[in-house]
Amino acid sequence: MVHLLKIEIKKRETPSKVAEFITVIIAAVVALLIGAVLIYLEGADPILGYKALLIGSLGNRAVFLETLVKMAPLLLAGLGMVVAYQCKFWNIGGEGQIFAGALVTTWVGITFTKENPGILPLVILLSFLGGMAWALIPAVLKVKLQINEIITTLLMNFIIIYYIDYLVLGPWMDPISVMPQSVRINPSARLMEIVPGSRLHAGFLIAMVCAPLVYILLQKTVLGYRIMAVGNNPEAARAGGIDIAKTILIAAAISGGLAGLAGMGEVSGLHYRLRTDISPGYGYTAILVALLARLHPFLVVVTSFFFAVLFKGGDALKRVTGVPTALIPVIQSIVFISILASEVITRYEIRIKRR
Amino acid sequence: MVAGLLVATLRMTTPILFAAVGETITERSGVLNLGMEGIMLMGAIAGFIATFTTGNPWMGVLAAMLVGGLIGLIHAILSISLGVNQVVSGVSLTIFGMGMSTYIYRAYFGALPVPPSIEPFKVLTVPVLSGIPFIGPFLFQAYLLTYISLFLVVFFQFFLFKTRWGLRIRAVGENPEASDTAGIKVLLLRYVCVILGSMLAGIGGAFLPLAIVKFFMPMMTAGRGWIAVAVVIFGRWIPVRVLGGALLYGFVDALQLRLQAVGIGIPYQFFLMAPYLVVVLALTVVGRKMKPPKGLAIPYKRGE
Repeated sequence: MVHLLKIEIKKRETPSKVAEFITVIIAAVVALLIGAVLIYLEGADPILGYKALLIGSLGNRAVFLETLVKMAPLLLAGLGMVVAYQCKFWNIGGEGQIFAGALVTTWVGITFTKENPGILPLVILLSFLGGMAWALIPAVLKVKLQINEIITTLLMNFIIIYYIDYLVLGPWMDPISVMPQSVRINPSARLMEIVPGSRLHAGFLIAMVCAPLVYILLQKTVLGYRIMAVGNNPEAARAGGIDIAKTILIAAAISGGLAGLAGMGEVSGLHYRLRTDISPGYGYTAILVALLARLHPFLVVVTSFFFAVLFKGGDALKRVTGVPTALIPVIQSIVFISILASEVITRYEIRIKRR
Repeated sequence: MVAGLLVATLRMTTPILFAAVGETITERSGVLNLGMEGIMLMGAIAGFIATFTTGNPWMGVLAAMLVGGLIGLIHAILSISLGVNQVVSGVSLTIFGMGMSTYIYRAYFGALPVPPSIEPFKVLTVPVLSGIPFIGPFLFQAYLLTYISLFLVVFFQFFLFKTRWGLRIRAVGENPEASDTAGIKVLLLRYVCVILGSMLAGIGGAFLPLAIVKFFMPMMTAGRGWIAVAVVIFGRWIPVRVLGGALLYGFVDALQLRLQAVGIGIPYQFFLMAPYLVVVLALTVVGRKMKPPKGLAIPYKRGE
């Protein structure tokens, strides 16, 4: 049989848009089917489960707003990853940079005890700088000593999370609480809620404003041109007089800063205090959010919303079917991996011929 | 105290060493596998459940190898056949493994008040020899898997540099075009290396619940897969040097556990941080002297 068929694989000149769209849809369906099998194996009804997931994240105004609450950090950190990846700086330390921003926010919020309208701008600025600093350490190690940033950005996550664990169980611990959490921050350090009666806070607006800003940065400024040039072809960029080290440092700084803002939003807008569980892995999901958006800032808005729907819907999925919420990151990564594979397939023409 | 520390060093080195030896072979063949963390976690949960149900930790090792190899196969298909960016493929498999291992644990055991535990591997004590002061317990009082991991270092040191197949693997990693011309099956060899490397990482992950502690915890590898990748760079892709890096990590990890237990007034979180800091520092020391295989992380397509 094998000898009768000849499989020919040819690279297409330009990937067919229609084929691309169809395969992405097929990939997403395949991923959801795998999720359905997992739900079924857990003894629950997959259709009921997915229905719960959708109703629990989009079904009414309240849950929809909660979905947007979860979207804010994913969007900010996702945009941060876009800036870094456009420069081929493989920052996978978004989680740590989120916590760095959260740490600085809390530090300001508990250091200044008097109410003052100037505190919030200070918090926003310093949280950006906090995330920036945490990303700059691996960036400096990369440009000065050529140390692989993938490993260092990731290892930095553990260092800061242990440090925060120390803070919330030690010097910053809320004395009237048994939970490992800091005292509440100064009300002046809080972001206001933008829809009364919901938890949706101004951090969401900051995130939505950052998407066009990152687009403008990358597409319309000299710095953005340099970042993308270094990412596309470092040799050509160097020949063109671009300071590669400086460009990588700036891209890493902006990347970490945006993730830092995501951490600020979680503390200033949502929890009003620091805990080690303020992020259920937003920093890792942000990697998929950015890559799935093909590093396009506006598509990050779409992918972060999609992943937020899954995060928020996961609560309802658990409530209705008893399936652990840990399924959500599984579905997220399977969706990503199947789309990753399908995108490549659309670049090829596969013909099966009879000999 | 010192002898105990040395014994603990070898114990903490073992999981890293399995994964690092696996990554060394993988990278030598020209493929970067950043899925190690996820593979170790999946190896840990597979090994734990297989041991929990059969009562035999060797079944756990087998299950961990199978699951590790399976994820390695996915990475191989994505990165070798489909030519997906290897960083992207590896990182996404790690994220998958992080979620999937946690999910399987929660789905399989539900919410139990006391975490389920297994009968772990026993330490082998060689009579008489283990009585030698200092060096005795270090060398003759360890897990069989630890000896296997040390054997693998020696074996692959010899295999990579003294055998024809080792030469082929290195050739495929350095210059796939020339290897292809010379009649070496580049893609097949890369598949074998990625899958074998992932199987070893699976065993490394399973060592945590099967020997170091006797239960599973979500995210229990705590970055060890990444540390294994770092150790390979530190060891400059040479198995015996990689062993050096793994031992350095194992020593710091064992030392911080000791110091935590002794309690010298420093909060325990700072001890927990120490291994990560040391790994970053160790990389800065090696710095510019790195020379990765020339074909590393570049997908090979004939005639392109």
